[in-house]
Amino acid sequence: MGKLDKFVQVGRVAFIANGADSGKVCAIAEIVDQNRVLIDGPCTGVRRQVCDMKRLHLTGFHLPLPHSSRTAVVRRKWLAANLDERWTGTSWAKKLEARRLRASMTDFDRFRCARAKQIRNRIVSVAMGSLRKTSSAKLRKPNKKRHLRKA
Amino acid sequence: MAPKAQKKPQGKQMAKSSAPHKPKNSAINASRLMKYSRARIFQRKAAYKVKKVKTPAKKSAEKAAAAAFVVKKIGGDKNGGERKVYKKTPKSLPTQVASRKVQLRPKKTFKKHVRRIRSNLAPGAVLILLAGRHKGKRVVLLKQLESGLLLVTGPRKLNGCPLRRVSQRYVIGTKTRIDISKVALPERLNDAYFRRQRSAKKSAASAGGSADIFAKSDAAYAVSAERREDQAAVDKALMGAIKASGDGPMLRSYLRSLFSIKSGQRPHAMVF
Repeated sequence: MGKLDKFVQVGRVAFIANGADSGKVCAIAEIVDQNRVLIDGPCTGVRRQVCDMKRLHLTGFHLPLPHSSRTAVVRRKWLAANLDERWTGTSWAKKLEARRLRASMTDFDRFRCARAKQIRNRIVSVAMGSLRKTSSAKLRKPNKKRHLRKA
Repeated sequence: MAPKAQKKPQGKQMAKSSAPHKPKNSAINASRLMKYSRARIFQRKAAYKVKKVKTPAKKSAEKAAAAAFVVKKIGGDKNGGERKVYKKTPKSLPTQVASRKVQLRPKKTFKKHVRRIRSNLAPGAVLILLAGRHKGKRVVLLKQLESGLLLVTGPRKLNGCPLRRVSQRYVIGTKTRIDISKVALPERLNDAYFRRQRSAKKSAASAGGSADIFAKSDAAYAVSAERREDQAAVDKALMGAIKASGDGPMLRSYLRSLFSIKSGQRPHAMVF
């Protein structure tokens, strides 16, 4: 288990993983009970609602929110913390975006991607080949099996 | 007021002969039921005014009697030289006069069937053929023919697929589009043009049954001159359209390549 540094607390920014609004981030405005919290995401289009903790994945961001803040307060704090930009800058959000782009690729896009990879790989292998030619001995990896065989 | 009254009857007479009248009866809510019953529509149409024309029944009876036998000449002597060959009685005779049912929605012949096309298939779309000898090839959709089949071409220059008919069912429509508004398709490209030609010998054999069934069928299919002509014309125009579209070289190599499902790809989750 990793560090226990992300707490279910008022102001914690959470990512909604499934159901309606999946893929969006929101802030925890209040804690209802062991399993449920009141979430609100005025800047990301998440309506103020009670949400089960099982649907939420906690992020590393935390807003200085007083508990039971109303939507306008949440919005103000969110904008002040510049959370939209900070969230899209995380590798988490980038990976999600990459996954979304890959899924939305058309047949032609897939072809273009494969063709671009091929061109790049050819350039790399040609460069590699020429490097290998010029300094072959230096580039050779120490072969462990060879040592054993000789001994 | 007086001149108007005079004009009206004239107008009605004119309307009767020239303009087609609206149907007096209509179906209720797209069902079999009609708004007016038969008796009611008789009144509305004033059909009692229409004089009935009697069909001459006697003539048909005479015809039937006359056709009962055929007089045929026979050879040989001392046998009258003629024989009356009577018509064979039919195997089954109807016991009741068949009533003519009024078909409110008669069966539509195949020609009149509605031809639909998938919403993502539009002229200029790149299609992936899934069956036939050109399966896996990416081709350009030119138009939908009268029969509902799609007219496609490789272009032949790029992937060897000629001007060809293809069923929608065996095709994946991709999102890639080529602007073919400037591609002029020859007028003669229709279903009759692409209809499979049966060799004359075979058709005679099937009709008469006397032709030599072991005779070799005609030589293998040879491309006609008009096909070559049309293919060249369409290819030229299409290659121009591909060049004009964004990313021409990539599009060309795309149309040359074959489609296949790679490991890990799930067609139902893929966007085409």
